[in-house]
Amino acid sequence: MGDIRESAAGKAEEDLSLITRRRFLGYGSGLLSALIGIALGLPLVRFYVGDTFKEREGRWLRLGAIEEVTAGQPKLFRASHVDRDGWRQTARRESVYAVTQDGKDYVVFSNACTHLGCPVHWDDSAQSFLCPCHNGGFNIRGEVTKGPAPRPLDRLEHKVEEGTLYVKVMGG
Amino acid sequence: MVGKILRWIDEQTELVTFVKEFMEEPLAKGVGWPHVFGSAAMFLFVVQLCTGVLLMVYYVPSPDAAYESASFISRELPLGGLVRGLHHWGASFMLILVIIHMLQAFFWGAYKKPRQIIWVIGVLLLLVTMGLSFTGYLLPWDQKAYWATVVGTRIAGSVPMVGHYITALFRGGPDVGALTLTRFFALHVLIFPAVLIGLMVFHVAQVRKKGITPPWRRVDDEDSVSRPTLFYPDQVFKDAVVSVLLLGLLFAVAVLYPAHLEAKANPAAIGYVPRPEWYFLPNFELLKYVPTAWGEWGEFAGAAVVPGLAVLFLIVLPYLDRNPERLPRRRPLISVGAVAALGVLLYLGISGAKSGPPHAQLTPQQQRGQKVFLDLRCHSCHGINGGGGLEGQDLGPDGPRQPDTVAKVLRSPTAINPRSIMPPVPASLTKTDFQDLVAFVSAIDTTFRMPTEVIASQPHRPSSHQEENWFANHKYEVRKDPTLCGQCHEPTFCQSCHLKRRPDSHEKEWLKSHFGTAQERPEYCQVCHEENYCNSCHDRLMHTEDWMQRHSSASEVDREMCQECHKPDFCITCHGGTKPASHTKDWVYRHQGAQAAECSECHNTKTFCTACHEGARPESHKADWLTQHPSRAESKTKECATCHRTEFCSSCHGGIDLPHPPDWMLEHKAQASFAAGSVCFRCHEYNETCNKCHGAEMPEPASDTPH
Repeated sequence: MGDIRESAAGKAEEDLSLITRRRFLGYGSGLLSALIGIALGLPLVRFYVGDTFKEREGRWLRLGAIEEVTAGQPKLFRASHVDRDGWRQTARRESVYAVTQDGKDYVVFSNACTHLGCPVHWDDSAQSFLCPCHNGGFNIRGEVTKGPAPRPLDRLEHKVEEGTLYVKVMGG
Repeated sequence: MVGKILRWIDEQTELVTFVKEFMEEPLAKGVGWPHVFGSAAMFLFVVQLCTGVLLMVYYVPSPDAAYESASFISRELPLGGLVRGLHHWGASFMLILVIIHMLQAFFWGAYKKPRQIIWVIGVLLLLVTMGLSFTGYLLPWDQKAYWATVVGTRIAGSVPMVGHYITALFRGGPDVGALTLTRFFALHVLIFPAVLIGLMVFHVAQVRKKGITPPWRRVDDEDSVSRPTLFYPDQVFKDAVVSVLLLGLLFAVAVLYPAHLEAKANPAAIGYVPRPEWYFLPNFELLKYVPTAWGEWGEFAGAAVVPGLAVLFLIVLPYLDRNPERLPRRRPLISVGAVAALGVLLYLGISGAKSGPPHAQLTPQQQRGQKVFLDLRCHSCHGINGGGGLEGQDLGPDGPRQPDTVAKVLRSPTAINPRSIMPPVPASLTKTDFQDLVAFVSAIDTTFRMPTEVIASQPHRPSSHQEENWFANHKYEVRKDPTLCGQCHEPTFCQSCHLKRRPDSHEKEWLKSHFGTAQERPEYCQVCHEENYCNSCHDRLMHTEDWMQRHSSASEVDREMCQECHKPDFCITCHGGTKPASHTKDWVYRHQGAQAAECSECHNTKTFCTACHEGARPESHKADWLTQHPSRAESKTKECATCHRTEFCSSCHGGIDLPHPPDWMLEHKAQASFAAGSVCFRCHEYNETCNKCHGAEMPEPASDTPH
């Protein structure tokens, strides 16, 4: 069989037109293979990447009527929303504090301590948000008053529409 | 540069030399386009591998998540529908190519000596490919997948005596469920592909070793054939061209005919009629020809023995057929037999595809009725033999129905079932449409199908809503986290059913206790009620002290709200039949003689009396009315008659001269009575009038004096 191949190759070397044909078929095969690779590869790569780099838009979550928030008294709101985790839809429960000093301007704080994320709560007697984990404290403006928290309480984007307070959350 | 790298690799591994030698196989004269099918099948397997591996990036083999992840792939991921479509159709393409490759090998006599084992491996490759298709079919976990697997695995149970053991072995238990899915997944993504790759490598290696069969040459006349071309590039180029065409075709089919997902697998959907995939249709159809008198042995013969013998025949074929001729006309018996067998398979397949499950042919009226059925969105609650909503009764299994009953239910669902939440057909529906709808609904039986496009366009539900008992359990989910429901549903969504049937919590005594819930957990109320719902009662209809004065006008406007609490005959307790015997028609003219203690048994005398005596007086009856009324009464007699009878005037004007004549001061003693309730005191205050002249000498009016 080796002789046959050698003789075929030998004949090919002698015959210029055959060399051209072989080259054409060889390059043609390579080109078509590359075409297949690109045609199949690009959609598959896009599919693999999926929504990895897609920015999440977030959504407005209704907290409640602004009348519920009295001046100088942080009000805890809890609300749930559906969060998308790939194919899963999970319920996420948000707890936030809404604060107003004058009944006009509102601030919505995340109730997660900026140290390690434990939930803070408003203590009326101490007039502070207190963190139960490492004894952190924040005043009504969210500023750190004691403990290891590295920064003030996170302020969340919010809006008031027709007397209702909304906060922007990620997901779903 | 590339050459250097290749040379270095070759020095280290001799891989390049190996590949070169492998690819430069001399090909016999006549080998060419008819020999591309093996490579084409292999190419499609590579496509299946690539798409399959990437689908695994997102797919989850669990009944809780399989459908959701498949749906996520199809509907939400970029190009997900395309990749799933490529994999779905690629399976069929690959099987078709394998079959064509086998047919080509058969008619070219390629199974003959010395290539018998290549053929045998080819048959095994066909079986593994079918196994891959069968196991992959279940993975999306939709209705079609589930029920096809139920039927497919049940066929294995046709083996007498041990059938149910075999079925259980396939399923991982008595039923198709989570364990079936995981073992099918393992078979599909690991075991079968590994076996297939191993067999394919052996298959190709054997082909390379023994060479591609020289067309039409006798078995003992191969050595003399000329071999003018090499596998690379001559045959590789042809393979590449075919692969490009196949890929283009596959893309076109995947785009034009996306791999639909039906509803999530529902083992309780008894009305669903499963259909096998096309490659199992001949076997499926064969079972119809087995005489029923043969019982389970007949089913065993049709389902397992005949296909098993066919496969066995294919495996031993190279060893049975020792005819050295390859030209089909020189081996007429086997060629005609093969064509006949192929004809039988095609006939069975085509008749299987045509026969299908019994499918109702709708009359023109039923077709119009079906359109009304869909326009009214009846299908969002009521399925038809497994397709459609799950909330209502599936209309297929229990049909057909009496048209009269159907018409009655459609007009007034609560007439049949008082707790029904089904809305009646809208009053705006024309008589013709209604008749068409009745004709359609009453005819629905097990042969009816929900239109495919309707099933495909069903709204995507979150995973929790696809659980079998979701409808029954949603009330508990609402209680767990009411604000979550509000993220997708408006209150009107709840009201669409609950206006007809109150939630369980709102049954007896609810009004008495609702305030506590509303105060402590308003989010519960807000799930189903709009924000101003409370005001609809609490603004206008609160039963405050002045309610009796207000209730007439309020009840006129908000009669429906009254009936939220009061039964319709509640009004009659005052306004009708339950009045005491004393309250005859002329009671209002006699009531002033009633004992206040008796009145207070039913009436809050403080408010009830003032409703007429103060609050309800017309504006004209001001403090100076008595002096003003004569002139008004003369000109507006009719106006007075709105409230007063003529006796009312006589009660004063009948016994006393009014206005008092000039000599009244001399005469009044004879006419005036000093008893309490005297007509004098309707106009005059005792202290101011009598004592003005009589001073303290005037005796007090006797309180017990008769009127």
